[in-house]
Amino acid sequence: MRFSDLKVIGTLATLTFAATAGQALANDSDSGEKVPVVYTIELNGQMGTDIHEDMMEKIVEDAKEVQPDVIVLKMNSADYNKNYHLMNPDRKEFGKFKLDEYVEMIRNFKNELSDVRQVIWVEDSVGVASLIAMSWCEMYMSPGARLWGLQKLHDVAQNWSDEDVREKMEAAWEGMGKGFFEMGCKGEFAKELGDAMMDPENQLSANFKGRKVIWVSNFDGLWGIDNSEEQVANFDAETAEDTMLSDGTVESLEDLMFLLGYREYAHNTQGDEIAAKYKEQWRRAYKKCVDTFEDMQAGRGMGNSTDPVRQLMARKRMLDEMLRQMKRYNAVERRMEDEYGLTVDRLKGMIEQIEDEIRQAREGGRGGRGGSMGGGRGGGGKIR
Amino acid sequence: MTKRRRNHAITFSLLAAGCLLGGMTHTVALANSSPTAKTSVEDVRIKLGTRGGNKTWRGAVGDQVTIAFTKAGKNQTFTGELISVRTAGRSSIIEVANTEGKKVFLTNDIKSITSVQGTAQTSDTTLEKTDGTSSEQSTSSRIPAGVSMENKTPKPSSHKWGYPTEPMNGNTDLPKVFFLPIEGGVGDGTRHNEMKQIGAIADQYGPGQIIVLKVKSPGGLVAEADRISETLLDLGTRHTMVAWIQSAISAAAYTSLHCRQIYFMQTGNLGSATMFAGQTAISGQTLDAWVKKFGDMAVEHGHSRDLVEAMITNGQLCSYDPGDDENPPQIYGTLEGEIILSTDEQNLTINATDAVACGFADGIADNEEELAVLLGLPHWYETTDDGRKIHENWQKTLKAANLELPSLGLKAQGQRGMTNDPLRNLSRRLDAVNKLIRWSKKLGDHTSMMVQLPPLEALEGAKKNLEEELRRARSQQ
Repeated sequence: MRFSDLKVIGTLATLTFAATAGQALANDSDSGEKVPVVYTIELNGQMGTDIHEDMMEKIVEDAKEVQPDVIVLKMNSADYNKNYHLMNPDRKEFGKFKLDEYVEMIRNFKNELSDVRQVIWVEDSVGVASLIAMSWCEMYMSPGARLWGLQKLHDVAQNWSDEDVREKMEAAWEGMGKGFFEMGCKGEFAKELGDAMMDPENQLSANFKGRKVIWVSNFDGLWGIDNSEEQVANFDAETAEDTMLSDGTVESLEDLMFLLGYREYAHNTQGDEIAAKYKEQWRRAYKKCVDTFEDMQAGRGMGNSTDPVRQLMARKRMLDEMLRQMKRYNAVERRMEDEYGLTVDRLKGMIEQIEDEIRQAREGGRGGRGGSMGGGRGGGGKIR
Repeated sequence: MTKRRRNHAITFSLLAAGCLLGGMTHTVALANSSPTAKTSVEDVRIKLGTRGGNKTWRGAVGDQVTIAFTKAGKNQTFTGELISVRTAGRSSIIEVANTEGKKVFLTNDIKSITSVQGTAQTSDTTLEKTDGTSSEQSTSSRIPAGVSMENKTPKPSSHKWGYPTEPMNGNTDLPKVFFLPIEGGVGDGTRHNEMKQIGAIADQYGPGQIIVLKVKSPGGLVAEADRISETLLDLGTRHTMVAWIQSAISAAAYTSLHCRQIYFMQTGNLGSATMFAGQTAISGQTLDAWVKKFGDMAVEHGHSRDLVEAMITNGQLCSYDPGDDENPPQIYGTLEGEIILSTDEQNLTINATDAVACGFADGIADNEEELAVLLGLPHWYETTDDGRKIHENWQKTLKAANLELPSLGLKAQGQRGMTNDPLRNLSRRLDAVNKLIRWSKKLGDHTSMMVQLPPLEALEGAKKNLEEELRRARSQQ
């Protein structure tokens, strides 16, 4: 071995040692004790797609390996932006109402990581995201953060003309919604808080008994929150802290960790990375799916052939591609269903239909038994 | 085939929004332990129930404690580290762990709590002096954590299919436990058939068994609810029926009232039982009869009529006073109670905390182990996994039906799978109708209705027509 080789090996060994030492330093304090690890998760974007059960499952698996001391879930999901003068909400980006799925998601998260302290940090939350935020017992907010209720849950039941039926539907939906408050240690006032945050007709105010907050479903309390019959109850960082719904207002992770009692900590960002990657991937798949669908609708990408079989084959390929994306990411299916009425099952039906047409066209082309496409339809025997 | 309107059937609930939007049926949620994390030293006060002389223990999470409790009539103790304390209605659920495992206790069941290392205080006197088991406790309190004790709770062993066996299997007077998850609309996912099956299996072990129904249903057909009622009333004559509520809306709420013991999951909800046909809620005599039937069923199983009637109509008021050490909770059909549950503009769906605080539910359990504590079992065990299998099999069938039926319907109408050969098409349509008939028989009348399958008579008629057409077409060839 030449001297230069030894030098290279020596350099590599030094670098490796330095890297290892750096890692060790990151996890150890000056006193030699292990520094607590905080694992952050950016819940950023649309509820039900960007923030999805599949993504959370991946994070749970990762967090179980990391074994952090604290998990901080940072919520940033709002149906409306803060430009109140030019509010131009994109309804496609509103949080999805998948309450059952969210209950399972949170239950699973808490259950699998039950030995780790979990904190939610609300940066901005409007709509169904607020239910998720309410599901954790420890909550902090950023200055200027919104914790707004969900008008839309109430709207879901308004299609019923009969008052009794409408009220029944409202009660059922709101009953499910209040389950989130129960999960977040607010069971005693799940009714008052839930009613006010999900049903615009309900009011909300608070009384104080020592350090305890007593929520009431009217505006007679000492601290008024909502006296409107047209709007659900909304909180900002200040009102939430004043009424002890939030445990504090923090500007940064350092602030938060300090309030949680950690002067020094190691920050693990793997959760953030998984969430960001998931968001980027499903959105790419969604764009591909929409592009394919629009091409198909417009008759693009069918090639130059006028042969009907080839045209149908090209159409089928497009549907297959969409099906693949929708099966890969449930978030894509949720968006395609809401925007175009397309589900995995519906696509399967459409593919089956095209296969029929291809078969018929081929049979017709071979001059088989003849008859026009769709022959054999009608003619009695219809099931009614 | 056109979508058939079913004016002859009064559909009840289905929690229309949920069902129409397809958002309220889901997979079964299973075990979930307390979310309370073992994090830092946290001062706690644990107030015991009447069994513990209403005494208060003060200490901290992380303390070594000895819990004295009664199980199956025997005094037992368990020593370990206090892991967590959380409220469940008027009681608290506490978790204690040692090297042998973790145990969950409901404060109502605890006779005393003793600090092993002497760090805790009691409010007015030491707990050891408050009941008749003082000597036993003081002995056990000296035993360090992890050391085996007298009357030690048997460590669960598992069936080969995964669920723990009952303690000392085959040599115990403990009841057998049968667990049946029911999930989906009343009429499709929730049916009397599966309940009958698990009942028949429980019957093989003799009377006195425990049948736990884990309910997750958005409601459905009244007609099926009536059949369920008949089945559960019958089973209730010889077994203990327990409802464990994840979600019980409308007809599923009525179903749950057939159980004397009702437990909620933390996110559980029950109510919204307005019956409606088409878009309109029932009224007049039909409504009166429904309200009476609902209320009677509740009262028969030890539940409040005032509470359940508020689930049916908007006009019915409901409130309650939570109980205290001397008085049980009191439910009113007025607004005189401290906690208002339903005003004249509201329909009641009750959640876990209120359900326990007003005395409607017996406790909150988020997983089987917690439920076992509430049921007074030494740990969670299932005598067989038949209930889970029955549930899985039926859910598979239902899923297959939902996947296959739309396509079969189109084929039966000649709108899918057709060729250019009319004779072959007729034959294919007939084949599809025959398959629909088989499905109809397999699913039964109510499920067929729920999955929008035409009535069997209509299918049989279509079959005859197609056979006739096919005969004619063949003769003309």
